[in-house]
Amino acid sequence: MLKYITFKSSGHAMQANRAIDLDGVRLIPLPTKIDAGCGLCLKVEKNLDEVEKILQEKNIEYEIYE
Amino acid sequence: MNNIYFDNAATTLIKPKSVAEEVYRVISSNEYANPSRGFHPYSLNSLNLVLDAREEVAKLFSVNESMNVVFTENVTAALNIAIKSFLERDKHVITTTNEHNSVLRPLYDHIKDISYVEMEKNGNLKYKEFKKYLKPQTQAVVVGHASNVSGIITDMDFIYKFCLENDLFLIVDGAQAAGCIEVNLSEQIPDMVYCFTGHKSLYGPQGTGGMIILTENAPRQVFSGGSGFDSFNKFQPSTVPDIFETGTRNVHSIAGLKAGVEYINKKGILNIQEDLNRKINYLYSNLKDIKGIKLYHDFSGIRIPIISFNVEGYASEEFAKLLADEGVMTRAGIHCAPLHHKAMGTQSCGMIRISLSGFNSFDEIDEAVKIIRKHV
Repeated sequence: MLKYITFKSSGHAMQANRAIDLDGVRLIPLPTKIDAGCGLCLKVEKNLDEVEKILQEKNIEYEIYE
Repeated sequence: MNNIYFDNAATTLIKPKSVAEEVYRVISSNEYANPSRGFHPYSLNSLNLVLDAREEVAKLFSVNESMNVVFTENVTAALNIAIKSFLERDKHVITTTNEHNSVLRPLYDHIKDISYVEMEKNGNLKYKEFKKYLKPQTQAVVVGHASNVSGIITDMDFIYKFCLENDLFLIVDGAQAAGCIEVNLSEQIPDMVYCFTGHKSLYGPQGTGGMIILTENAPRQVFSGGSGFDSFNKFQPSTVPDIFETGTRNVHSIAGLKAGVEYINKKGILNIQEDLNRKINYLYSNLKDIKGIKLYHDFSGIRIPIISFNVEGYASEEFAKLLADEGVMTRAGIHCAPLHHKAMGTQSCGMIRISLSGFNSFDEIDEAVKIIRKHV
């Protein structure tokens, strides 16, 4: 499983990164092939359900890309 | 020679030591680059620092969502942006005669139909007039939280209720209130923007300020330019805060502002409010009975630490010069509040304004009163 989670702004991406401390999740520069969101995104290799739960709890808007 | 600085409503001169130290640390570390313009650690350091600053400001104003804190270069910029982004040119706005030109001039510039709620003789607003000016086309109230001339605090519970009941947008000029009194934006509030400056009672460096966006209304872009992402879009990204933070933020100074607000949060805003009110009431009790001094404003209840007055036989600038010659720094004139002075009948003489900060002492107040007495 490899997903990219994008955000509305770099600040929101950093806010998400601060809230998530899970194995297989890290902040990376947005791959150029994904034309969405800000310049940063989360690369999620595992724990996607937990990541989404945290983002929803923190009320941080996001989108998921393959 | 005295060195008594009583012009804190213009800008605070003495800052907590941590403010300058934090600005110095950030610059001298060589580790803080452009936020949102790269993925290297120095860029992320700045992004994190600005996020910390947003969280610190959000905490002071009891706001849950720190990303709704936008940084601008001062409150004037924030008010211009808020008025031009959220208000329609052809719809009516209610403001007051108590406002600073940082509210009035952007309104003159952008809004065709404006009504002005007047003041009582003692500087309090005539709150009943808000209803009188209401029209079907009224879109918003734009009001200062505290007067930079009288020190009187606007009854925000009334303003919130009036806006909620009549479905009006609210823009607040918090230049003088922020850092002096508690501002709790978690209460039941209308759709609104609260504007603040960094360099007065939040103790930040000059060139800092911002606004807290408390509405889901879609903002219009006012400025556009680099955003660091979405570069093929011909418009500024529509997300708050990015739609308002065009170009590179003043990260070094925002670091200083963060330290200033940390100082306030650590001390407790209610403790600060109490301390400032004790000091300004002490000054008032010393001035009010001096023959030849004319005070203008109501002094009951919680206020911000400002007293404006005149001295018989002097123009305000003449007396302020006498005080400055003895090392007491005040401000004379109109204080950028033309309608306030017209209402008070002081448009030709202005007023002498003393404004305190938490760094002023009772000894300084005693010394200043002694000097005032000598010249009256």
